[in-house]
Amino acid sequence: MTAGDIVEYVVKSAIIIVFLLTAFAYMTLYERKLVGRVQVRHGPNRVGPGGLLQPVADGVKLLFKQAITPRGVDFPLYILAPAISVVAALVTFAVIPVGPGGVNLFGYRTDLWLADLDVGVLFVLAMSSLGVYGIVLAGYASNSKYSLLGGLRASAQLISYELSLGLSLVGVLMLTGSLSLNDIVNGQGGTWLGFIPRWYILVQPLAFIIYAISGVAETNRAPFDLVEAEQELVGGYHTEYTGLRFALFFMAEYINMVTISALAATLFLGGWRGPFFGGPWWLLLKIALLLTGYVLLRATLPRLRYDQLMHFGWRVLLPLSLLNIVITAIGIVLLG
Amino acid sequence: MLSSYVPVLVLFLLAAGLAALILGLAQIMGPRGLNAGAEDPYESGIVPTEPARKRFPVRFALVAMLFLVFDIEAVFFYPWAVVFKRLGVFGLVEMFLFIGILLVGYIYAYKKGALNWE
Amino acid sequence: MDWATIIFYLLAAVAVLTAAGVVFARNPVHSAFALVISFLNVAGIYVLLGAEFLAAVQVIVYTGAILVLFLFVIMLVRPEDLRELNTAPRVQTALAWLLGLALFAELGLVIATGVLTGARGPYPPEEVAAAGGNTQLIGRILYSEFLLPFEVASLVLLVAVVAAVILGLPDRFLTGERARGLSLSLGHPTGADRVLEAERRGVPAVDAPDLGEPGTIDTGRAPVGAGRGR
Repeated sequence: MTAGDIVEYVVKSAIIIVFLLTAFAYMTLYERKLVGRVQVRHGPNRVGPGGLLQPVADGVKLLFKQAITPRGVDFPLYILAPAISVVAALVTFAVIPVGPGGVNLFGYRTDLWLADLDVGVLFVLAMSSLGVYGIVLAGYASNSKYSLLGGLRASAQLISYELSLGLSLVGVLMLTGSLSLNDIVNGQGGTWLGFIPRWYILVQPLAFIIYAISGVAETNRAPFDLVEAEQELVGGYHTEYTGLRFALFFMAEYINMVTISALAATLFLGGWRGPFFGGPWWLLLKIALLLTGYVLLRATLPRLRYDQLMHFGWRVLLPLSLLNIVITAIGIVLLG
Repeated sequence: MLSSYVPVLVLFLLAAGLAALILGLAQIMGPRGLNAGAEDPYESGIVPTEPARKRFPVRFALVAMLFLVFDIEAVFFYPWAVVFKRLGVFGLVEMFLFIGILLVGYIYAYKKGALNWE
Repeated sequence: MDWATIIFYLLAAVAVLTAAGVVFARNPVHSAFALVISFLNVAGIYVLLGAEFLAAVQVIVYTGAILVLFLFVIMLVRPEDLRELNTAPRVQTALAWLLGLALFAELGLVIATGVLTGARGPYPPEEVAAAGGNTQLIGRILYSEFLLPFEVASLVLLVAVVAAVILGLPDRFLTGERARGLSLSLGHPTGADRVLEAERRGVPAVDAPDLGEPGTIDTGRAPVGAGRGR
């Protein structure tokens, strides 16, 4: 490894962070706009042309808010919790390939991914299990009843749906024979009958559905957003966080949405592969489509009750994801 | 091999730096001085009467314990999945046995009402 | 020293320091958190050794699952009971010191004399690379040579499920309406005893007010609308 390599990693990491932060900022606007449209409103349209500068205004506003530290908090954990959330969310993106390897960029030969780990899928799962700590610790450290209960509910929900999320990926791994996300994307190259792309969603539809549902639950989004059910839990685990500290949690949630969508695209929808042209644009398009799905879910579905949520995770999704593994195994053995 | 983890380390350091920067900004930029009651934990306008860190239903611990078991089960699936095509029918049978035994546990928990969230 | 060695010493130092923090922290949640960091550093050491699968499993199972469980149980403990948990019998303390020092002496001896040396195992890096990676090789060996231990593992997990259900369902101790409002402290050494004692005497168990739904926080008997404003 040379100094040049390190510079390359720093540049790529910076690009990833800037991309995710931009995606976060404009996702908030897109969500408000789209939900507005669904509800026959305009959504934010005052700041900048068509409301385009709204995220900047929001950010500046949060920047100048007071950082209130409530009495009786466990300060070290209280301040670490949002940092853990956001770091776990950002680092997960390291293993997602955004394009083919060995491309010439500005006369410099490079691969369009930050890291190609042999255990890429497990790395993602490990990071998401670390992300739970941000929430548990925020709930515990805040010294508030709403935070504690919200944090507990959130972590119970996260760990319940993490199971089906992890198990839904096993089918894809069986088809690929590798845990590397690069191999998984490459396994989806080519076409059937000359025009149908060999995406895993076509052979693993059940797994994709399980993954999509668990993914929504993992990011605490509607209809699984009762972690922050305003009517009963106020803000949930981030009730006691103000200003930019709160913004970190908010950021982590949206970055997680982008990452879950990027993973869905990578694992089931061919990643950066696509007809006519391959590369980052296809991946971006797929991520955008999946994020639109997220917003439409929120705009159209009512929130579940907590018991329904736990029942659904443990009694429906978990057995289904096991069933999917069994079906896939039998299918592979029968069809060779 | 090992070198493929260096970029992850780089991204981690940058992300941690960003989080620290934002937390630092939150400390520096905001106004200071408190209104009366601003430091109180939020309780919908009612003055808190009891410490927040009291006990809560043991159910959450049960969920965590069940999660632990099934998470370890999932971990066994990954190395099996990546070599499944090599193992063939043999792999199928041994995993059926594994899933079968765990399914007994699942059904037990189900029947006892452990998955029943009142 | 090359970079790998420097990183190893960094990881090892943090792992040891946070492990000490686990013992010395007064607050059990801080202990648990220190343990998370210690485990993460151990995972880093596994990566340095080329055991990628093990590193990932270390994070997923230990820092993920076990510590979430640990934190949950800690949160079940009432803060005022913690002093009680910290007072071990004197014999126990003495024994702990004795055994700890003995272990240290043994480790010191092993390191000083260099009795234990590393031998090349049957699966050197070249072999691992030929198998297509760490996980693939583990899969191949685990599901052929170590088939029996693997199936036994499922039995062990089955026992764990049964134990979890028996421990975690408060209906074991209480039946009917009262069971619903009770938040039984698992971490509390006398929690179960107190419940059984109350059961025997026929009085309402401990401080379990009739709250109705579980999933609500135990608010004690705060008078509703008692108007304790400032």
